[in-house]
Amino acid sequence: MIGVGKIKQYGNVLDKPLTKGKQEVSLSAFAFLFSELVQYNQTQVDNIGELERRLEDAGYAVGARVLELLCHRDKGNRRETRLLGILSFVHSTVWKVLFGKVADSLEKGTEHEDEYMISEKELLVNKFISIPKDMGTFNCGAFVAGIVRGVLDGAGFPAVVTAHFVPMEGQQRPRTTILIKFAEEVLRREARLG
Amino acid sequence: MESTFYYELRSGAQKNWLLLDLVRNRFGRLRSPDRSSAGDSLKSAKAATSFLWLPSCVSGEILEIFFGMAAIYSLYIINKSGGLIYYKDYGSAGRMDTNDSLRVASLWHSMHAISQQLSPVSGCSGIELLQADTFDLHCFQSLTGTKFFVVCEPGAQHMESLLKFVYELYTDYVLKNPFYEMEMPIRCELFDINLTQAVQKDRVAFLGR
Repeated sequence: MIGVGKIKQYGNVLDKPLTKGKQEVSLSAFAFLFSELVQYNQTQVDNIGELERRLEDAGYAVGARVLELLCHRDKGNRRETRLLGILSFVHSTVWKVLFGKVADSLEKGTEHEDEYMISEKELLVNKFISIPKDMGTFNCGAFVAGIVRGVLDGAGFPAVVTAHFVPMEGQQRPRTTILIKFAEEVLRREARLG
Repeated sequence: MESTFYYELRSGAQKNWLLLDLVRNRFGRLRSPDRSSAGDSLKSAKAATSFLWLPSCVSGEILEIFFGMAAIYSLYIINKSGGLIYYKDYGSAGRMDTNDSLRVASLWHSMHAISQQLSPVSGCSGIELLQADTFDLHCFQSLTGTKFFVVCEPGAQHMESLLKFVYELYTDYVLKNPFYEMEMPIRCELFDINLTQAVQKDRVAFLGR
C-alpha cells in the first residue's frame, strides 16, 4: 500500500507473516521511482503510443503478481471465476492493497455490453504529474491499466484495458477512467454460466 | 569603518540605479562579536530607492483600495545559475514584461551572491529580506541553490512560511513530474493550480487580519 508510514523490518523474508498487516511505503519514494520509470521509458520510445504500451507492460507484471498474492492471502487459494466477481475484486481488494482505498466507482459501459469502467478522481500515480500540452491525451494511468490487465488476464479474463482522462463538470482536474473491454470469449463463457 | 554601502547597479535599458543602503545600526548589531549565528547576517537590508524599480510596486494602499487586496506583487523562482524558471504576477498594476522579469531575476541572483561575499560574518547565506519604501522582497534559497523570492507589500507578514510552502509545492509538483526537465522553465499545470490556491489562502489570511 502506498502512503506515508513505516514498514516493520524482518531479517528473513520467510519470517514475514503473509497476512497483510499495515504495510505502507513512502508516497514520495514511490512518486520518484514512478517518475524515473516514465522518464526511462520516454528515452526508449519514438511516440506516445509506444510509451503508453511500455508503461502498461510494466504494470502487467505487477498485476500478475498481485493476483497471485491476493488469491493466496485473501481468498484462501481460490480466485473469482465470474465477471462481476473479478471486477469487484479489482475494484475493492486490489485497489485497497495497492492504493489504500477502494476505487471511486465501478460502472458498466452504456454503449457496449463488454465494457466496464473503473473511475478514480485522483489516481495515485497521477498525483504529482502534469501532462504537457503537446502530449495530448497521454495518461500515466496506463501503468494502472496494465496492472488491471495483468490481474484480469491472470484470472482468465483477457481484456483490453486503457486509461483515459475524463473532464468533470465543475472540477478543475479531469478524473481518470480505466476502461476495460473484455474479449469475446469471456462474455460467451459468462453467458453460458448464466 | 563606514558601514553604509552603496551598490550601484545599472540596468542597461532603463538606466535605473539601485542604491542599496545597508542601515548602519542593523549592520552594526549583526557585526558584534557575540553574534555567532552567521546565517542571520545581512538578513535585513534597507534599500533606498528613489524611483519605481518594479512597475508593480505602486504603494500598497493604492492597490488595496482599488483592487481589494494585494499583499503579494509577484513571485519568482530562479535556478542555481540565475535563470528565471518561474514568474507569476499578482499585482494588478500591469504585468512586467518578460525582459524586465528576467532582468530582475538575474540581478537578484548576482546581488545575492555579492551579499554573501560582502558579509562581515563568515558563512553568510545571502540576503533574506530587502526592505524598500514601496515593497519588501523576501528570499528563500533551497539547499540545491534554487532561489524563491516574493515581492510584496511593505510589512507583509508570513512570507517566509509562504516561500517554504512554495518550495514544498515545487518539490512535489515539479520535481516529481517526469515531464519536467531540471533547470528549465516550469510548465506544470498542477503546480500552477496549487500555487494559486496557496496564494489565495494567504490573501484570505491577510484579509482576516
